[in-house]
Amino acid sequence: MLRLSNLRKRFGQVVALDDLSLHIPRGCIFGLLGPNGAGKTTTISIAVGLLAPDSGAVDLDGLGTPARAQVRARVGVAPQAVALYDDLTARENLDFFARLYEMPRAARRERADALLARVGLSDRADDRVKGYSGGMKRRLNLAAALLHDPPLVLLDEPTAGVDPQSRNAILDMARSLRDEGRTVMYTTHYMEEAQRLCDRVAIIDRGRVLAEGTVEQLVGTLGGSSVVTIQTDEGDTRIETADPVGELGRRLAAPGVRGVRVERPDLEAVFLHLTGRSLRD
Amino acid sequence: MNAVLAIAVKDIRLLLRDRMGFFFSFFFPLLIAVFFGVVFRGGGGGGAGSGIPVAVVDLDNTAESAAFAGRLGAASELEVTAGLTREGAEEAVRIGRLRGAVVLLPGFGEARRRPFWGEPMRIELLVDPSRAALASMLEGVVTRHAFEGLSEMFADPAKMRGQVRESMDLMRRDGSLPRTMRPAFELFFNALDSMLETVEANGDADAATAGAARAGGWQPVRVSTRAVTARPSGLPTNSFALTFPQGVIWGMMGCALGFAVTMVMERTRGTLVRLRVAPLSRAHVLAGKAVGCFVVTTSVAVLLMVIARVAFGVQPTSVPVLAAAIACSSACFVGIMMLLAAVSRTEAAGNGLGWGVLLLLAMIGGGMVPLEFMPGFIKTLSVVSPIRWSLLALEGGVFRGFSFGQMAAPCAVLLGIGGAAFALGARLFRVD
Repeated sequence: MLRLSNLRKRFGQVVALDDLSLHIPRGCIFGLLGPNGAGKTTTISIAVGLLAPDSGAVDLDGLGTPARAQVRARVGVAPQAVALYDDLTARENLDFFARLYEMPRAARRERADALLARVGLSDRADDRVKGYSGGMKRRLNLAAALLHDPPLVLLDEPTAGVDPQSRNAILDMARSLRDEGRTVMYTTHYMEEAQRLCDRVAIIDRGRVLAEGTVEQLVGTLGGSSVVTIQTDEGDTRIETADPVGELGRRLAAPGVRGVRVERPDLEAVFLHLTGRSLRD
Repeated sequence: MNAVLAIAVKDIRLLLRDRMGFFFSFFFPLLIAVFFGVVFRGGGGGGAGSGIPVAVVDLDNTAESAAFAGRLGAASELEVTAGLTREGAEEAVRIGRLRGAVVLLPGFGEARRRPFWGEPMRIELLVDPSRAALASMLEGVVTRHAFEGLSEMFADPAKMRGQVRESMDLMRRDGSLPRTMRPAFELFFNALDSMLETVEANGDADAATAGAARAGGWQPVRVSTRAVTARPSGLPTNSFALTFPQGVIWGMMGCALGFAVTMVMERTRGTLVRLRVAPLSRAHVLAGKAVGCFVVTTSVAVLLMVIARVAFGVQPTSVPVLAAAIACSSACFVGIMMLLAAVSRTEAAGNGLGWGVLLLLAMIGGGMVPLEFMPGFIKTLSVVSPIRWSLLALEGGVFRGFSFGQMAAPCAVLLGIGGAAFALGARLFRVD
């Protein structure tokens, strides 16, 4: 669906992207995982034609570069910053953004109503956005990305600073978009979110792709061993193992076991393994 | 095009919902125009609060005509300029320096001395035909003073007796009076003299006035009006004609600044990303902003001038010329808006820089204090200020009486400054 090839981008002395290549398959949720400053937003900006790469190429669905307006029209973006007009109502915001896509009035109205219902804002549709909570704004921000029914949706840190209820709603919506056949590119620095949601993940740092694959592949190959902790009267025993279930089976048969704890490797461990740093450093 | 209009409409809607922005774009300029209009009322510009400025021209040059001119000079309703020739007074009315002229025609004194027969005192008013109400008012004032003069004469029996005797002498010498009328007038004057003698002896002046008033068909004064079409004078017709163009400038400054800040906000708040992701070119986005700014600045200017016309009697010398001035000024401020938006990184910077630059331009361009009161070097410096040219163009349509030819220079400068600022701003404006 989206192919980014050998992208390079510098801002002065800062290298934002360093030969970054990605292929986002159609119909999946693709997670772009990395710490702040890793190059996620720069990647998104180049992917939708907001920024021109210093070198490299972007191809959307075989149509070419999104620098062309017709190609860009196939992409919906929910920017990291809530990109809405506070002094307009939710409906007015959606109507305005829909007009940018030359949608007829009736279609605009119908689409706005459907999306407001989908993000749970129908009852606040005619309130000005400045009265909304952070989570409500995030949901509306997402709705605005879907107005023109794009096959590719880019969600840039869509759950930053939202309450758990809105976060769950946004994650559910991302899944439903995939279920509708759309491709979702999802950037986040919340590893558990990527782990829960994404079909494929690319871990990037300092503008380079460190690893790419399914969560299971990455964790299985780069996350290291699981840790089984056996608690007995003599104290705790930590055992690193690739087969935590088998290890548990053997250890639980021994006398004096008061409890067990199993820590499976996750994307945080993968990132730590790849960079020597925590994702949140 | 639809997208450009959508951006323009959205920005206008946002501006109308921003109470502070709306205040500075409309109400503040209106307050400035009204406040200074009231402050300057009566001082210069035709003196809206100090009587009707008229000339009194005495073509009779008699004691009676001089006395009447003096009476008009003392009238509170009038602000009299004396000593002009008839041609001079006519020109003063024509160029709008005076609202009208009162001409005491030859024979005025003689008619004043024989108020009961022959030609009445003849007075001609020279008034611009577009000022019908003023003509009526002036005629009323002049007629009242003429009758008051006669009334004073009737109120003084001794003075009246002298007048009667003088009238009798004039009648006896007047060969034009029909011979058949002479006995009747002789009888009338003798009877009147006897009555006045009695009144004088008894001190009853009212009886004399009542007796004179009974003379039927009596017309001691005849006031005629002659049209003198005023042409634009280059001077404001009232103080609001001077202050409303300045108010328009302030309104345009407020609008330009408001739009510049909204453009900066588009960038800082991320909505510009949405505009850029939509299938629009950079030119569409900038054009949408420009159209919105142009519509709002023009609307504010038109609204202020309509208020000036309806509520404060400001009559533009040429509506088409004024419309051209407003359009060119709006275009100039659109360019300034674009440049301000391009060089401002944050909203606070936009506000601070915007007001700083615009106030400086207003200061040296006559937007705060009229350039006439400025030192020479400021007047020289003012040529770089679009405020100066905008003010000149607006005044050209409001009271300076500019033709389209005379408007060419200020309009060309405004469009030049606006175009250059827009081009530079569009080039510098970061959309990423």
